[in-house]
Amino acid sequence: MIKSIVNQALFRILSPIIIGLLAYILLLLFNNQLDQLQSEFINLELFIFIVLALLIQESTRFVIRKRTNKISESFAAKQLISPLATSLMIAVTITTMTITFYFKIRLGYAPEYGELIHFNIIFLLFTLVYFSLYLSFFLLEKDYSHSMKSELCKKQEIESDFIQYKNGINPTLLFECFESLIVLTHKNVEQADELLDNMAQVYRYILSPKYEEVISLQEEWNYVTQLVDLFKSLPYRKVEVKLNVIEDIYIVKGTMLTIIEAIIRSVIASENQMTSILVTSDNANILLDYNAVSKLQDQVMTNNIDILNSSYRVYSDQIIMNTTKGHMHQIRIPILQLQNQIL
Amino acid sequence: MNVIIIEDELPAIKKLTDYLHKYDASIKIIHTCESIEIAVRTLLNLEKPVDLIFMDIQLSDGLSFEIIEQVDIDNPIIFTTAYDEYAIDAFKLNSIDYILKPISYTALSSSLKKYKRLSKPQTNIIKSAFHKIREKRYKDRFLVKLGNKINTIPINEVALIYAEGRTVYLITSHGQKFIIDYKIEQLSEILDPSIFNRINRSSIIHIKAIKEIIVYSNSRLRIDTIISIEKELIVSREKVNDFKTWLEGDL
Repeated sequence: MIKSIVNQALFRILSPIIIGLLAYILLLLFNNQLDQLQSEFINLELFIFIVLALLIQESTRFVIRKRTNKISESFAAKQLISPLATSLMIAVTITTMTITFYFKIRLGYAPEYGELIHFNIIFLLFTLVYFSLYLSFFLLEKDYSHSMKSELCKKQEIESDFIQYKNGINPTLLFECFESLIVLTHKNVEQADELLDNMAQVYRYILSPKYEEVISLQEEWNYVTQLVDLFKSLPYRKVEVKLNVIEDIYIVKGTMLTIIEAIIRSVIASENQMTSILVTSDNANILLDYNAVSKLQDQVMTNNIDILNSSYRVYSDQIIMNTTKGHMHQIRIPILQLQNQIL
Repeated sequence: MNVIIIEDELPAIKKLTDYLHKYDASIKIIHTCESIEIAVRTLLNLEKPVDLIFMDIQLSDGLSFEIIEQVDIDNPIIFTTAYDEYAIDAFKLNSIDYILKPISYTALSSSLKKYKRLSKPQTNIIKSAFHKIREKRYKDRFLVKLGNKINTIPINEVALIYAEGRTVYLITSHGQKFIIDYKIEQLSEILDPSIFNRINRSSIIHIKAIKEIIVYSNSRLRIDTIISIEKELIVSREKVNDFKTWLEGDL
């Protein structure tokens, strides 16, 4: 985010010089000593004024940064009373102390009450200017960063909705099915009909409202077999899946469908090469083992596992892992540990 | 075997007829009825004995249960349905025979094999199943991670659900905060709209979580909740009217 001008180093250095100079001229005007400018323009008094302006500027900036953080969107003037009063009090203290110190050390006597009032009035005016300036920029910056954050959140929400929508529709599979359907309707109507039924069943499952977050592996397996049947009707797809799990175990809804599809898509399709996927389990994981040659450049598996892992992180400390040794691949899906019988 | 098909979609009638003939060429489709009205008229004026009826649950003019209410049917019925799993559960629970659409030959042949064992339809049982179908289903609990296990949060304990970027949080009425695996968009479809309201793009609130409503800048409303939350809950300008109607209990 761009730093506002009032917070930039150059402004913070130049501003006290100008303010100090203005304060000095104002004081000379008060005391009717403007001709002093001609005889001795740069002197210790001017330097003291610049230092005073710097101290007041920085203290006001500090107070605003520390005390106005809690100002909410429902902006109210009363919320400003405390930081303003603090800034003014600090300004009075700094001015009085610096001037008294200067008078005693340089001139050898304490300043008069009327002189102190003059000094304080001038620097209180500049404090008010600083306060208004810093507060305006501070609130503007706060509002800007809040808007940016909220826009970023909205962007992420929309992206996330889009990814989910795209995953649900699965356009690649949809168009592949349609293409196969076009071919099959001319060759084998019965197969085309079967393909359409499988497609309808799979899409009904994928697109149905998600009332349950988790599902039993066995229940999802019915749809896995239908998905595999769908793939079998596509050209060069030779796939077989086998489930060797008898226990009642739970997975995030859609996990097996996504992983099986990712496996099929991440291996090189060949008419002579069967992709055999064996599903087993150990104590903590569901294991999917398959032997196949992976595509040289393919992000399908990684992307799908990443999407699924964002769901698994909600329910488990473990995530889905993919390991490869040569042509042997293994995917480990953590088994969800449910508290008692909650399903 | 004489069969009646009560179905309002012509492709489905054709498919069912083809599958029935494929299963047994001697099966005769004596009537096809496309609406409740036609079905009632047909069943009241039957000239031939009927062995089996295939009945679509949702017809163009209503639920086919109205046919059973108007006509005393003695023959076995196999329902066909495109309803979701929830409706299917109602049928399974009451042992009512059904085939899920799109009808597959395997499902049809397995139903036909047992059709002779099907008893006379019991109106009360079917009524309760249809009653469940009529009810709109809403989510009744959330699964959340508690320690290293998954636990449930009943829906009446949910005070607020809000999204922050890609993450969606659930706040309970006790002030506990959990991450859930849903999108706000999905939730607005499956939460009961009489108790939950989507007050803006990223927040859904339970009616009981509202403590105070304050008029806010730019024709918006700010909600103070019974639990303390870091987030400022603002009813967006375009949702204010719906929100007021919801509070009045008209949604």
